[in-house]
Amino acid sequence: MGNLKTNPLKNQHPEQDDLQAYLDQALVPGSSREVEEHLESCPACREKIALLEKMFTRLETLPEIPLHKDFSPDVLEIIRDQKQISRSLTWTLVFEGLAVGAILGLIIPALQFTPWIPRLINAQLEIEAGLNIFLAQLFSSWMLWWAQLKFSFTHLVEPFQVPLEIPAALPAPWIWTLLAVGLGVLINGLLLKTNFSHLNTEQKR
Amino acid sequence: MAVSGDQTLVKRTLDGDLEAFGELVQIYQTSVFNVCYRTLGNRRDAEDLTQEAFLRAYNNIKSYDQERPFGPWMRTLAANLCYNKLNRRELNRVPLEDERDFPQRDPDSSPEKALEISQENQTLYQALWELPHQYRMALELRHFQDLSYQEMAGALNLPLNTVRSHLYRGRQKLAEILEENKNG
Repeated sequence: MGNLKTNPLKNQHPEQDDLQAYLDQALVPGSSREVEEHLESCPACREKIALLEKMFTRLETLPEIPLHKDFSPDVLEIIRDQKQISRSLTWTLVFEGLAVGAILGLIIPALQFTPWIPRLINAQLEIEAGLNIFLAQLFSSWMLWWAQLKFSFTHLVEPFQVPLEIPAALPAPWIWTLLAVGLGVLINGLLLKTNFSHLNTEQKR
Repeated sequence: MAVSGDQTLVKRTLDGDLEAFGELVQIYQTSVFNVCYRTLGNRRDAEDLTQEAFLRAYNNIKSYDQERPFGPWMRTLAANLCYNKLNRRELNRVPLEDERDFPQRDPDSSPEKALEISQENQTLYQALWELPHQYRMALELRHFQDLSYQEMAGALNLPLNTVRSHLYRGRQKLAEILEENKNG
């Protein structure tokens, strides 16, 4: 509710926005009464009010544009899709949470049973060293070539024996870890694929 | 549809009955579409925004005050959505010459009278669409949704004086455009 910017009782015409506020019933009761009293004695303001009322009536009786389609099937279908996506994402999070939990639960104990890891690293270093020696022989004199190559092969073959031993030394938790990771990735992929297909359906629409 | 019927449908929607919301869409789609159409100025954008408004209403239905009628809440939500889209310039207005379905007030009137009324309506629609969108929105909420200044300020998140000023200027400008069209 607003007050008047002018004083109609002192024969001042109310401003146009006050007249509009009067018609909108947005003036405080006292101001509204003042405008009414002014209107009784002022034909010019009565004419302004009449013009405004005509415009208001014209606007408020403007007929509605007809609608040629029913939105409800499309709206309901999108809502169902949104719910489906929401459910899929929830399950994705649940599965991923379980997968991460399983991986952490298996890796931590598994680390306690991995004496072969340092051996594997050593094996890698020995392979590299052996290869370096082998390459060096190619540029050395032919007299020493056979003997040195034999020496190199000795060093090369030995490291390979270490990885070959790994399966026998592989502790059981590692198998489960690998399986859990693989399963987690597989499930995640499947769920994401489902979600994307839903999103694509919505975008196409 | 009586207001109590709307409340029943809203209650059923809140209980998870999607078909009940479908009934609300059917009841209010024409009026919501008209809010969007008057505000945006073309049918395609109005249809898109009508659908978006109903989706938004469904997602926010928990915030709807069940003591109040559903229709005004729904239409104000749609108006607000259109206003925000216009503010962000996310819509491209297209020329409106192709619109052929301007309504007639009295379908029983003579063809000449019907044509005259249709042209009058078209002139008014065109004049509305020539207004800056802030003014158009003020007129929409005041004259078509019957909101008070306070309610308009709340719906548009604007100060009361700004709303009053938009309404005043919108009406002045509309009168000028109509007068120009009449004389031109």
